[in-house]
Amino acid sequence: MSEYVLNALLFVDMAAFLAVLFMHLIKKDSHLIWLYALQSMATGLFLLGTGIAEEERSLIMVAALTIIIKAIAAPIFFFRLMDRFGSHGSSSSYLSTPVTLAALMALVMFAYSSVFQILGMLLPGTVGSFPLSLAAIFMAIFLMINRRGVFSQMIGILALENSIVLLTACIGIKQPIALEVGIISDIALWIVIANAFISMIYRQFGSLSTSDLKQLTEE
Amino acid sequence: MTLFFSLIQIVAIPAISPLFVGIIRKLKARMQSRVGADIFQPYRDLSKLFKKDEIISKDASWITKIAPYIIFTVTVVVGAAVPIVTTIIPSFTPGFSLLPLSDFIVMVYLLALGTFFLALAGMDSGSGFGGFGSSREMMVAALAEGGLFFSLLVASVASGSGHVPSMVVSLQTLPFTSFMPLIVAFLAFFIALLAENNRFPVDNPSTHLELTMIHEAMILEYSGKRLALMEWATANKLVIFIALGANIFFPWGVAASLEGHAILLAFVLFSLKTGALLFSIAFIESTMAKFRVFRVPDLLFTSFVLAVTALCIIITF
Amino acid sequence: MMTTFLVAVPLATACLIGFLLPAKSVRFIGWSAIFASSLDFLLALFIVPRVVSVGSTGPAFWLSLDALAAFLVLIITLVGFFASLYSVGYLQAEVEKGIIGPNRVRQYFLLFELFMFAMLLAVSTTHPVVMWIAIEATTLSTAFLISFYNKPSATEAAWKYLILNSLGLLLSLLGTLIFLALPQIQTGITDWSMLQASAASFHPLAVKIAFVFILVGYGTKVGLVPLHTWKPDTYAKAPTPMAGLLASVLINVALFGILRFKTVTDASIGTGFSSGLFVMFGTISIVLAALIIFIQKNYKRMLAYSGIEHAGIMALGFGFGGIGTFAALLHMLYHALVKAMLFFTAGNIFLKYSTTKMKQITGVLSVLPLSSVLFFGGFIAIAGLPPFGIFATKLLILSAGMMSYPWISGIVLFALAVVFFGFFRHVTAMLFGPIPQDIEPGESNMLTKIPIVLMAAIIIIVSFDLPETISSIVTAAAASLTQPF
Repeated sequence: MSEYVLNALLFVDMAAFLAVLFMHLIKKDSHLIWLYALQSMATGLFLLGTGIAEEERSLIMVAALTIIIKAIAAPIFFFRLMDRFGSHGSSSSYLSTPVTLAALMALVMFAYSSVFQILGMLLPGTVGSFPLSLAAIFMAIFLMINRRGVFSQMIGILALENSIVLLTACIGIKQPIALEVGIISDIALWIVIANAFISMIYRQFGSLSTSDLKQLTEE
Repeated sequence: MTLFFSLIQIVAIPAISPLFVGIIRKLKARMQSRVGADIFQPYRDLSKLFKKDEIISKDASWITKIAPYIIFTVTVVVGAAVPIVTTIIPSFTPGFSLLPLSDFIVMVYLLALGTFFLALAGMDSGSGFGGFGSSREMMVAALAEGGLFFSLLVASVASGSGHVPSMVVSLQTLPFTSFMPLIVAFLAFFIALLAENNRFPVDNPSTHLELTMIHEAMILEYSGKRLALMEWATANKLVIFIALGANIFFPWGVAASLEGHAILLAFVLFSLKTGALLFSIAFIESTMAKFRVFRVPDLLFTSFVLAVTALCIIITF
Repeated sequence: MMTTFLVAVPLATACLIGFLLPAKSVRFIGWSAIFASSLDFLLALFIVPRVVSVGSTGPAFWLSLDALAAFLVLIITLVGFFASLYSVGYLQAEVEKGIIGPNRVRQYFLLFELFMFAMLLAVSTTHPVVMWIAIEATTLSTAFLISFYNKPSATEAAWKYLILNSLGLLLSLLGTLIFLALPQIQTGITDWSMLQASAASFHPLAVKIAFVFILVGYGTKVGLVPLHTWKPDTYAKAPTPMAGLLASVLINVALFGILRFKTVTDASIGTGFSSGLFVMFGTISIVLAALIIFIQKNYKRMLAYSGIEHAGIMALGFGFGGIGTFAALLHMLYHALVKAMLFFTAGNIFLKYSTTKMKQITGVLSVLPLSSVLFFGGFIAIAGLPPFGIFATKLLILSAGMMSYPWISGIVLFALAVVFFGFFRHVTAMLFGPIPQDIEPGESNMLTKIPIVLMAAIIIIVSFDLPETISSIVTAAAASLTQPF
């Protein structure tokens, strides 16, 4: 792959990483959806770029499917969901902003450590920067733990899935197209189900903050 | 030639600082759909204040009388060592040059000396507002010091020297891809700039409500020529920070010699860079609300974490 | 051929229930579900001896059963058959009490059949990613079943289930994909045996990383501590037949997933790494579950923690290896049967008393004589008392561990004693004592009684005299798991 394509892929990888980073810092849930759309678009572009550079039709089709479903259809779906809840939808986090940033920095350094170096050498032709995608995985998991709010948990899972797709594309793992389509449709179904649940939670609890979900105790 | 240039270097920053303040006010006015005062208005304000009578509280000690002079002198001295358009340091005789002053640690802590006397002066008059202004200022200064110091430390590690003019020279030749940690460090520096110079979102420089003041509260009891010196010193400090930020983190264009065309190019580029910085300060003042005091430590601690992150990135790569 | 049919039957029934049958005919929906599951069970009864004699059923559309998979198919279809019988009875009772309407019954069975399809697909497929998709499908299909009663607590439990399981499954997807990248060829790995064959050439550190992801991921579904937090809430709030199915069968399917990868890992870096992890997680699970069972106040949650404890025991067995593997596999069968029976009898108690708090339940022995006897019997069995099968498997596992990890076996033995005392305390409190005011004695209907009696009979038969076929298939499965390379 040419130097130019490699640099473009690295740039897209960094955009996805920064999207996950900013998910921790913003306050409103609607911004969270925009950042997720950005990350999905970056993932789709990454797949598209790899597919074009290696001239694999199947990868290009998967990339197109990713962009359509995750970057366009899902955010529209989420925004419609948010409209029904008025202007609720800002959540805080358990840790304050600087401590969150410090924790994220620790996670990124963990991803860059020698423990995971081996993953980049498994297959020939690692593109992009796989420690960034690995760091994005850890940060997405941290997002689910740190932020209050049912929306954050859902976007955390979806961001995690995006980062996993990006990581496998970085390392160079290839799957038959049927399986990729299977995974994407799985996630699409998950999005539908999660949205149904969020509506139910809002109807029954009246808010989308996880601190209100305390019906379950050891009694 | 160098003597002439050295003298210019010493008076440059005090001379242009009211202009910078005037530009910020004009930009702010324009963004808020007002006409705003002329950009040279601060000069007129200063000269008016110099002619006015002074009243000093009878409970004030010698600190109130001396502090403005100390603070102003500190800013002039530090300003003389900041590279504006060139990286040549003025030296008067081989034994007396401003070389030691242009180390970034010396600069940061000389300015801290000024802050110290400012805080003392605020408490000295015995008024309650001065006291709480001083305590708030000390909190902000203590927390901002981390971000300020570490962001300059990042630049120093990247360039391999602690001496500001050499930092500028070596950073000019850095490859583009290793500029990313410097951008992060610049963000940390910018937050520290806003905090140390009493700008939004930490402090409102044009407020008249005493309970929202930090810096203004400390100079509340001053009048006449001492007030003029205090305001001038604040403006000087702003220009020092802006010049440091513009020239260290975006070092392209600073001349390395005293030739005419290099100086001219450097001057143009400097105006562009500082213009951008002044515009962003004015933009922040016009679009954001000031943070409540309990949120300020979070912001300053974020600046510290950003600077430490940039440092880690530089060290490991 | 038979395998394809086996897997397709629940899917076809789901379509039938979903699209063709009108919602009003609750009876017809229930009977079609029972018919489907009995058909599956009969097919399984044919497949298992075939696998014992031939070795594995032939490949057809990526579906092929070896000894381990055939054993799991047997467990799934057996418990599924009883679960469908009991579901019909349970839902009938609830419709009579007015808790749910006929439309919900249709929804229940539709999702039930999809769940069975997903589980059967997961164990019979040969491609690791298809297995992942199937296990993810189990999460998706059961999410709405858990929030079935639409109360806030049920919704919250279902949301917790969905999020935690999806998190775990995504991590296991990462592990799966890394495993598939380990052989240094780009494509062409499409099934387990090919993965295992090239195992020796894997880089050890990469294998370890991938296996940790798999263990954490599928371990969330199994319910190993500390990834177990969704279990008590889910089992307490889900409808009882579904909770029974989740507790008995889904654990085994998730363990199956981990075991498949364990064979690959062991072939690559030897058994030390994975065994150590299994033993560690198993011990922690058993100890924590034992402590919480002792102080538990809600009987459905107590059953959930018992499930966690048994998952720990099975993990311990697989970790100890040797005879422990054989015992753990057999434990899967016994535990599935006993746990399902316990849940069903608990469901009968719930139908009568409408509460899950133990201090409000007394005198069950006089109110529901059949259910209470089987409830008590189930607890004796699950606590590991002779002469039931679980006693034998626990003994075998602990003896396998005595030699290599003596102090762990000691701790586990102590924990199991704590569990037994805890059960005894709670169950006798429930069984004896005065009958509360407004409860009238008598079981709900025929179909809530038949399955538990049949299951009790099967448990007794299998404990005393393990059929030849089952023991040979378990031996073959254990051999495939401990085969040295």
